[in-house]
Amino acid sequence: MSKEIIEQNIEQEVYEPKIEDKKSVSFIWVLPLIILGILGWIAYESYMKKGTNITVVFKSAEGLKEGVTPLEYKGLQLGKVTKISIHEDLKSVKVNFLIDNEVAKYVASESSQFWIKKPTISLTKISGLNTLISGYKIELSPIFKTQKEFETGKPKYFFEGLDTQPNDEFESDGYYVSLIANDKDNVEVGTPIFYNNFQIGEIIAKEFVYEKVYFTAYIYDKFNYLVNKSSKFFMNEALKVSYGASGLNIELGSLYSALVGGITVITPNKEDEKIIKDVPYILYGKKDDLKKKEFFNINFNDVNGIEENTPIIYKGIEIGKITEVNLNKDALNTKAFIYEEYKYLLTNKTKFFVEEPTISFDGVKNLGNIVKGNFVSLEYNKGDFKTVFTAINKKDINKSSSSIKIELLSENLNSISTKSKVYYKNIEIGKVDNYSLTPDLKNVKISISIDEKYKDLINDNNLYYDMSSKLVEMKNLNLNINYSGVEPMLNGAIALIAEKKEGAKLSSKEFKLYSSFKDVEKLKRVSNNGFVIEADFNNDFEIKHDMAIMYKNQEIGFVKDVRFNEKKSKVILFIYSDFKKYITNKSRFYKKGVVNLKASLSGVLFEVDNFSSLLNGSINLDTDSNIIFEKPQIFASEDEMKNTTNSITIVFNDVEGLQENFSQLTYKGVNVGKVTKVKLNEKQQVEVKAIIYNDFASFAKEGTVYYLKKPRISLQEVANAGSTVMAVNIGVIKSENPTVQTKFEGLENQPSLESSHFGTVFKVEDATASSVNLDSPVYYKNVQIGKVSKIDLSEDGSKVVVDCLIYDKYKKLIRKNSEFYDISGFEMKFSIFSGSKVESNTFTSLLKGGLVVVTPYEYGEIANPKDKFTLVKTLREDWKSISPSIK
Amino acid sequence: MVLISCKNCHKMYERENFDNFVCTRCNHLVRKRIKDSLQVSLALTICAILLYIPAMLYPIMEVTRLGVKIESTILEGVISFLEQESYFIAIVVFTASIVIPMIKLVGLLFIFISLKINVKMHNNRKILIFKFVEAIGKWSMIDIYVVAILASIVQLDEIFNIKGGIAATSFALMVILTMIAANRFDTRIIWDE
Repeated sequence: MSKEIIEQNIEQEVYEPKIEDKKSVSFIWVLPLIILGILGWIAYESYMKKGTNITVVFKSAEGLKEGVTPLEYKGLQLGKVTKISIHEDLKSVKVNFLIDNEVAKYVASESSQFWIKKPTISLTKISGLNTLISGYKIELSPIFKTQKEFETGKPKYFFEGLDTQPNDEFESDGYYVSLIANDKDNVEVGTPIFYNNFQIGEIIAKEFVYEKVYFTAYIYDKFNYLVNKSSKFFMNEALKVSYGASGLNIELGSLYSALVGGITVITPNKEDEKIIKDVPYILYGKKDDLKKKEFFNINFNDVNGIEENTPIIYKGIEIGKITEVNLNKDALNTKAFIYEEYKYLLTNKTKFFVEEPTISFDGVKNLGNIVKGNFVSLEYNKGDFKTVFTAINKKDINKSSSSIKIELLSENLNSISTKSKVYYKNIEIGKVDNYSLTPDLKNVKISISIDEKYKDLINDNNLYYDMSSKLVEMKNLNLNINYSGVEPMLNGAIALIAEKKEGAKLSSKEFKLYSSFKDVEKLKRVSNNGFVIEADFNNDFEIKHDMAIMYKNQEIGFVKDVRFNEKKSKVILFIYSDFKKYITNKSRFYKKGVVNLKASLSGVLFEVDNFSSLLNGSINLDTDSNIIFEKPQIFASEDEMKNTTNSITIVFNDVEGLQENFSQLTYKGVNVGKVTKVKLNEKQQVEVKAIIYNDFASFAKEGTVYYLKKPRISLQEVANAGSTVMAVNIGVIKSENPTVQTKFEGLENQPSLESSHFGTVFKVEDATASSVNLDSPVYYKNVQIGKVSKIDLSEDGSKVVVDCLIYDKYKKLIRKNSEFYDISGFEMKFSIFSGSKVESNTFTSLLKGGLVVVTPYEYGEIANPKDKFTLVKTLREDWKSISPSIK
Repeated sequence: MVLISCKNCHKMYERENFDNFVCTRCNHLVRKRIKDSLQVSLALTICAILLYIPAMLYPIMEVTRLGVKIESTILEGVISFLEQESYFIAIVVFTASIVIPMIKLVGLLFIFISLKINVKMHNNRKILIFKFVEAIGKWSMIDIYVVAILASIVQLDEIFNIKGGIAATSFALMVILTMIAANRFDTRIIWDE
């Protein structure tokens, strides 16, 4: 019974099975696996790349930064600084590097050397500039050169860093030369080596070994052949100063070598063997050091300016030098050398002396000395070889050579000095040795010596004068600026006047030194033959002794003496005998002005005589006059002289506009004379004194008319306009009268003439003066044949007389029955019916007036001036038709 | 009869069983639960965790200044910001790049593991965590955004240069994967027995 209940209970509870999908593993799980794989690989990679650690000890870690500063080799980054810390010895810095694994074996090996690459700028080298931007870098310099070495080398992880770039960056099979340097040189690492001014190598190392400085020079491969055993090395001079015959030479090598210096190589023998590295070569200081030298001694007594390195120069070439200088008591002992090639100059006759620089205007000599001081020179004479010398004073050099010695006496030393030279024709022939006062203290004795080769010039007839004291000399009365070079001016000079005479001897030892050339000239004058004449003069100028007397610009004599008297002084003139013939009783003398300056509106007159008159004036001789004088006179000026003889006097009433010296006497437009003086005479008239330039006789004739050419400005004409501004001139009408007359009455206006050179004058009478004017034209058939020359009242005052000047050419037209008509002005006929009629002839006649001559057909005889004509007022109507043919 | 809704258009169906069929309204495959939801999410989360490691260890940015290359990881970046006293940025970067991913990963892991192992937590809390994770997920991309912008703008060759590092890629992938993981997770599973 109970089993059924349980089964019923159990049967009632039947559960459905739960169906669940079987879960599948999706593919998504691949992704984590992949990522895991990638991660693992990355981790592995970075572990492999971890790098090697090395430590380098540097003195200073300046500029190094942890994690930043790289280790490089030729620009390739090998690793980085990881840590910087202090080294145990507390004096240096430990720098840790992490090196990439690929290059670890090259870096962490025995061959490595590390140095800090900083930007370097020096005169020899500019490098590492990129580190300015990027900061310092550590650079690796491996010693090993081949792979094999690296492989066999041992690894090393601890290094000592270097201070500077190591030296063996160059290949070991390069061409190296060792050089020993002098202590004076400034050669540094990097100094270039030149051959023919082309850089072929450089100094790469400098070492100090055994108290000597050794350089290692590296020659670039290309130029290996240029350097061999015969090569010589020497320093370049930055600045080469040389002096010589050509003067001062300054040479600057390339600017680089000026700053850096440089070493030059010369290789005389190209075929020689190559240099072995460790055999040192001497680096010479200068090129000269290469030459072989001969040493000797010179002693100096009283010179200064000699020191070590003073050069010895012979004929402009430096042949040696003073090397050592010792002061021994009073004398200077020196050791010197000359180059072997000049050894022959050292003989027992050779003399050494010191040259000092001289500056003179002639040129600067020995300029090199100014830069370098004095130098030693020598005078060479053949002889035996000698090595000890005593230097002598330069002046004494010439003493030994034979020269002629002469003594001069002078009143005054003036500008002579011991530097003075003796010149002959401006060539130096000798010099002044010394001078002293004579025992009686009145004169100066000058000793001169003349070079032997000029001995022919020296004889008893010599004249010596001081050339220097006067720069300006008068030689032959022409001005000479005596320029014989400035040196005589500065140093004083003596000139010699001499003639080479055969057989002339030099017997006297003493000569007189004249103080100037003039004095010598004076001598000459005195030695000239001549005669003396006396002349008077009025004291109106200064006459000096020695004034020259000129005749036609030739000196014929001079003033010897002047005897003063307040009224009339007497002058003694000395005339050379050659010119005696020019002195006659017609001679006159006048002083030629120094400068003749006259200025006015007419012009500026400027006359300068020859320059002798500038200084002294001169007296000129004149032989032109016709008048005989009892005693020759000296006039103050040429004009005055002429005045007394060639002058005429004209008396005027009024001479307004006339000016002394400017008013000219004109004849036919030519100036034939001039007015020299205008003054009032006793009768209150104006007396004009004029001189005639030439041909006095033809103007000083009775009947000559002088008239004033005053300016005439009127409606009809402008005449002599110049006279309004300039001086009024005097016109001349000549006459043929043979009588001589010198005093005339002048006319205010141009006179009328009966006949003049122009033509004939016919008198025409008129009741009143019409509008005919002076210079009105006279027409015949409207052609001007003459003009009115004068209008005046007749003597009895009843008529007006018009003088018509008819030109000679037309004289035949005027016949006794010719008629003169007045056509001046114009006629105006006024009529009611016919209108007005204005008739006028030529326009000129409208202004000037004029006359017309009409000669009828039946013409009569030729008229003469005595005939009288009457002026007809109106012109006849048919005048034009009357045209006779007049022969 | 069972009730199923379409995940896409949320249309309710009354069906006999939980077999898959096509929604009549939106043509989407209607399923009871997303297929392999938990597996996929879990796998992706694990990937993300794996990727998180290089993101932290490797440099996210390489700055080259005047030839000097400095690589910095996220943590180093944060520290340098702090040194430069840019506290705000430091906090932002720290939060966005370190804290949030950490929370995401831990949260997701926790949820997934709690489905397998019995954890004493209300399901509602789990949903809350999940919602939170999903919401903040995308904000981690800030860091990537910064690196990308910098890298594309600052390109002055040797003078100044910024490049993204490995960590950037890794980080970005990580964030993306967590986002996918969160998206693929069917939260209904939490209430499944």
